[in-house]
Amino acid sequence: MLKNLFRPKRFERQLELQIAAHRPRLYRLANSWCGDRMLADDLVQETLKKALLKQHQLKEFSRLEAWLCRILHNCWMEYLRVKKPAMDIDDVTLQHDQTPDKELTEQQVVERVRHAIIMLPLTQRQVITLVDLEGSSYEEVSEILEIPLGTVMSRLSRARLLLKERLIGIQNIRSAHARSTHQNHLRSVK
Amino acid sequence: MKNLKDDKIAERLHALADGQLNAKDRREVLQILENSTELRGEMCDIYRIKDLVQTAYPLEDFEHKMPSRQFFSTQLFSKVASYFVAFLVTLAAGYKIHDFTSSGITSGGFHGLSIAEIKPQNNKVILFLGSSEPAKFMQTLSKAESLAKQFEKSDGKVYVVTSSAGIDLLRTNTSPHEGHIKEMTKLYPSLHFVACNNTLYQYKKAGKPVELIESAEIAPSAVEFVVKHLQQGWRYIAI
Repeated sequence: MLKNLFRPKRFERQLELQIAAHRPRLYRLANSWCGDRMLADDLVQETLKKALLKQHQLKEFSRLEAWLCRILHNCWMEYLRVKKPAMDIDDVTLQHDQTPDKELTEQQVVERVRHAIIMLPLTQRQVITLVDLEGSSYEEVSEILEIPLGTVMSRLSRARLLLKERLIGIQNIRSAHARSTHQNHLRSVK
Repeated sequence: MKNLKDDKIAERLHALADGQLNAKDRREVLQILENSTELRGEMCDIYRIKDLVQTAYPLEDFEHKMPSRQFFSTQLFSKVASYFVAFLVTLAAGYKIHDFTSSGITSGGFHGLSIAEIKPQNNKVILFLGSSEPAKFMQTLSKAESLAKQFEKSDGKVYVVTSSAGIDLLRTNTSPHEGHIKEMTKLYPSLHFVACNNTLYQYKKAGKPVELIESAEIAPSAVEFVVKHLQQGWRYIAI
């Protein structure tokens, strides 16, 4: 703590720049959690504001990303507490008008996957997006969400299982693909 | 009734896919995979889901489509910030490479050979790229070139395997390094660039067929390609 108090001004400036540069990543993560761009932007604004005010609390520069994700998580929890005080966060799912039977164009694949993610229970959704989008380690996820390591692993496993079931049509593309590739003329390696 | 043992194995497969196992655990899980076609299928599914999640939220989508209000007021500030970050990322890139072989991974074969019997081949390397971040492109090419140079006289081989967003490195309309890659493959016959056919199919299915640079080769599945070569003792470096 004492060390932090005597951090040079130049370091603080660098930290501010780094915090600002994380905005798109935080915005993507918030969006994957709440499914609403405006709300995601509000959450990120709040996160960045808090991060700048509390920057002296960051103990290691290398932990910046996990620290920011933790603040974002707290902001999201705070939002849910205020807006939906009686709701179990595991039950928070969001509305989506996409139907799964539409033709799979690129945008529809994206929409369908996003839809499947947003329909996951919130606790699972947070774990899978932290691991797969942010590349966080299980230990970091455990710290960010304040849950045991074993819980991180089981939630992740369940989240991916649910996604696998819900994205079965997209999964099948792979085998269809294998059949179709017999006819291509590109050089292939084994 | 819920099978706790199965849950435990599933969690370890996920941990393997996420690079969260130590060398000893990795060897154990690979040994389990060796003996189970079903689990190998599950492993492929895990990679597939990871790919889909990443594909659904490309970072550039959130860089360009953010609501108009700015966190910092001046555009100049944002520009300075992005240059600074690009500099830091490039600087840090050298420290981010994980060489799994050096930490003890030498996997076993799926077809009869046990892990202990596989001899690691130090001059056969797979570089795996799954990201389209410019810094990672640079990192991959620089690592590939230095390895190819190193292996020139020792009959070594380097495969740069691209999957998911990493395939952008080999697409004619997205790769800023097409010329460099062509030169490198001419100069170093031991160096190969490989694209994952599963990813190509996703693009094709979405109505956006991909044109690859001339020297690129195709593997039916990046995951299977990597696993197969690991079984043969190749070294694996994820960028």
